[in-house]
Amino acid sequence: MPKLRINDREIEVPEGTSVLDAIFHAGYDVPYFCSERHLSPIGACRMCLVKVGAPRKGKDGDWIRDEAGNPQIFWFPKLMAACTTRATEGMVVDTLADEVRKAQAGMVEFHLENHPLDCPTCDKGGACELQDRSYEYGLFEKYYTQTQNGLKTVLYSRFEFTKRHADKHHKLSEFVVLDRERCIHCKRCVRYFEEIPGEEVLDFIERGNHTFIGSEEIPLPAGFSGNITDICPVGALLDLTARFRARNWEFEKTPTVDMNDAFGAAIWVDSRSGRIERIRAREHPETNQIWISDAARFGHGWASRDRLTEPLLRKDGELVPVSLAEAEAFLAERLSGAKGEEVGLLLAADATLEEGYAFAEAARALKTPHFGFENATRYPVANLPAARYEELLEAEFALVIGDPAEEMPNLYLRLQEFLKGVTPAPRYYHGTPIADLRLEEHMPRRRERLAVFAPYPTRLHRFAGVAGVYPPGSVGALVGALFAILNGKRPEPVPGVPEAELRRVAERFLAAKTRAVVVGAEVLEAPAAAQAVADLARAKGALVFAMPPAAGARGLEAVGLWNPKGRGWEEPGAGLLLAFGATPPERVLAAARLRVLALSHLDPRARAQADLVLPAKTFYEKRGYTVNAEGRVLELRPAPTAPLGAMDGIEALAFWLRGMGRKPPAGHYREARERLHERHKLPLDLPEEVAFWRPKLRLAARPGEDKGELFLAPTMWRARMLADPRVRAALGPPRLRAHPETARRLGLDPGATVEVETGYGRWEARVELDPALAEGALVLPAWGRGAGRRVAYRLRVPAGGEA
Amino acid sequence: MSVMALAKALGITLRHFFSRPVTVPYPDAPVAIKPRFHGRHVLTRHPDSGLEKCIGCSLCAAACPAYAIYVEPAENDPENPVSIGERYAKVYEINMLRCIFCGNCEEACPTGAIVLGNEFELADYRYADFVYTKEDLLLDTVGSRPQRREAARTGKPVKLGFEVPYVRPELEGVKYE
Ligand code: SF4
Ligand code: SF4
Ligand code: SF4
Ligand code: FES
Repeated sequence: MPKLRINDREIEVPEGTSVLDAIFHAGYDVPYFCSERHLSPIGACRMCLVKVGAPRKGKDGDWIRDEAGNPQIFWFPKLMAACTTRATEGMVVDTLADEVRKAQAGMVEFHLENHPLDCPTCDKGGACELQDRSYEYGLFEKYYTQTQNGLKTVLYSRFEFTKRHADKHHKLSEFVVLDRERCIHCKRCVRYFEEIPGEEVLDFIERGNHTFIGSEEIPLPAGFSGNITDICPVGALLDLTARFRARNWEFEKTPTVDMNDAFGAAIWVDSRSGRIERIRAREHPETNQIWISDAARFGHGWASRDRLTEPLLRKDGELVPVSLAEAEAFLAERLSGAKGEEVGLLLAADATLEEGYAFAEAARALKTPHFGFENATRYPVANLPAARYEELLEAEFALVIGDPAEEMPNLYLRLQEFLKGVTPAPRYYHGTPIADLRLEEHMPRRRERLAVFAPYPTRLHRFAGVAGVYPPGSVGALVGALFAILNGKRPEPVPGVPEAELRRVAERFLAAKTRAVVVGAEVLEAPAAAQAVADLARAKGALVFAMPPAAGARGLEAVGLWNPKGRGWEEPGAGLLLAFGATPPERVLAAARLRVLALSHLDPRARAQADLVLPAKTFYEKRGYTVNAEGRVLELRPAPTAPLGAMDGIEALAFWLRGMGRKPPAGHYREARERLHERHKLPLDLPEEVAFWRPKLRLAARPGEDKGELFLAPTMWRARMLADPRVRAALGPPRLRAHPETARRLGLDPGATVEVETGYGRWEARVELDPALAEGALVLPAWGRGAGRRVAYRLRVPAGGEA
Repeated sequence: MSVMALAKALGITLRHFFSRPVTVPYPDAPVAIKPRFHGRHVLTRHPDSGLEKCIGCSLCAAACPAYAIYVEPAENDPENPVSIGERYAKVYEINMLRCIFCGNCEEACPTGAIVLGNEFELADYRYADFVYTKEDLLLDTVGSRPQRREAARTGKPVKLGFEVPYVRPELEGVKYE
């Protein structure tokens, strides 16, 4: 651990620390633009220049000493970029010297040279690194002021020049816009794409003064593009969903958790005047670091449009607004004398622990078999052991069965880190290193460390040493075969995957000291396969990362909402139905006598079938806790955007139970939280870094198997997000992907538009032939409903006639 | 009290009795105000194009010590722009009950869009009527809300109860008759 001196302070830092981090660690400040946590330091902006000196060793191997006998400090002839200089033993750093201040002011001047004076109309204004550094480090020398007609005026530069002009509105996608005049060429965005999601889409074009950011790929691939709007130090890359919605200081900023997937990514919800205007990534070093997916970032438009604000009651076939009192009277009338076991209590996938607890307790008290949550898999994910995401980085080999880029996008980014062989960064007093010298541009990805299998080629296939595509439905066979090989038995053949490949995977798996298994929804839907993974983890010692399709799955199952007997959300049966947060499938609604839905938005199915609709909160507006895929307890905080009277699950349930004349398990949030805490002893008071809740559970899997032929591929986008025209435009119509043979058999023409109907909804999809799929495969995006399942379907060409 | 004192006091009274009065029979006669008097704001326009100067930057709202201003920006339709550039104020509101007429908004405005004018007759009845919107503030709107309401009722033009020697140049395009 090198010891060095920063101005007047002696510090000790880990080997490989940059001078920049050493300066911050010592409690001094240094300006920077191009350095960014999690990206390689490149020394592009020269903003971090400092005076550095170091002792030298003589021929005898000892320090060259001055008269006093101390090691003599040799100053570097020029100022050094702190971000790319390594802190070494005995180093001396001066950040306060006049020449340093002069250099900093000079760099600010150069950065502003070509920067437009856009601040009043720029969405970055008020949160802009260039603004801040200009105030802090600019305007230093005398020549910046001049006296004219007795008036002292401030000059912003020593030079007279005309600013460079460039494209100010270059749309990179439906979500991101580039302003080339504002770019200060820090290269963060370029490095981001190459280093984090592993896509090379942006780059510098031309040189010197003419340099600009460009791309061959317009629109940018949707998936991970939004993070560049967070890291761009200026307003060159901006979020179009929040374009001109407010200034940065006007937003109400709520720190909460993204509940679109089970990763538990930390987000900021920026709202104003009761509308969610923008989502940004929030730093959480142990989970999402500073990244989130595009779906989490740009898919918020639905939440603030067409909200339900009052109860709707069906009268003469139409849903009409009524008062809460009328809704209450209606419920009391319809629920009088109702039997407990007739009641169905269903909860959306993004419910909080408290809501899950209240529903589970109510179901127990009513002794009803009809309860559960949306997107519950056949195998309870809570049975699988959970590992911390950071532990993945310490593994030597990872086997992935599924599509992390879509199922848990942030886990995909973690896998990229794993491929580069980066271990968790050391922590300093100021947190994550800003210029982590272990990161380099174009780090080789160690493909041999990864094996991927999925029913279609995923984003990860490109990076895997062994990558296979099997036909949907063969995941059980695949896991079985792998299991057999690992146990030295003869495997059954797996369609589409040669045995030699499996043997290679098994070999690497066994050779690795630490190993990880990442499994997706499809595995969780095949109980035998999931059980095999659980056994494998136990027998061979592997870290398991399961990606359940329901965000709250781990927690909801653990608080008692696991229902092995029937699929609460899928199976019709309940006569009196309360569903919170999402609309159950048509057949479930059709079978019920009374359908009460608590929804934030009215969807067509609810409009057609609900008897009473109560206004509900979205997950952005809820208070509560959730357990993410690694078993970490995370806190949700409410953004102030819920309409007056919108209920959370606890209130909706209490409303229903009072209608039945029963006492609810909890009347409101605080009560539910207290009861939950009493009952399950959750570590709610611990900081999130160490708050884990992983009760050892042996829940019974739900028997059965999917029979359908259409595979619903997991997606990071959710059906509700399609309410936003921007999202619709970016995603285009859903693609019905088919193997060419399958398409021929079904008479599907490539490019044709067909109507696909499954139990989860009806889509107008475009047919796409994909020879990389296995024969017989037919794949449709699930958009959050029934991901990883094989379902029965009906095809229709909208012009009429069967396709 | 001596006679002398009485005569002196009476003298003062008589002198003022015959001098020109300093009071103004407002509202029948207009008050003379100084050109820099801070009254109701005006949202000015570019004189040549007629486009609004305001770009919806909210700096006025940020500078306002009374939190009286609310701005909601939006993007200009390039075919049919409201202001110069990409951004304009879709909603611009000043709550005249909160405003302390300090002029900080005018100082903060980078485009010279919001300028404090000379109108001061703002008295009204309902709270909501004191929230002045773009319609009430934009150049060419003469008079306060109650004055315009009155004018609409009687069918006569708004009668401003003041006169200024000249309108200061920041109030580009404003004419107080
Ligand atoms: S667009 Fe932004 S992030 Fe990219 S190089 Fe320019 S300033 Fe840096
Ligand atoms: S004059 Fe002062 S108090 Fe009134 S709106 Fe402007 S800044 Fe606010
Ligand atoms: S009046 Fe001026 S400061 Fe206020 S939003 Fe408009 S341009 Fe910005
Ligand atoms: S050169 Fe940009 S931060 Fe060091």
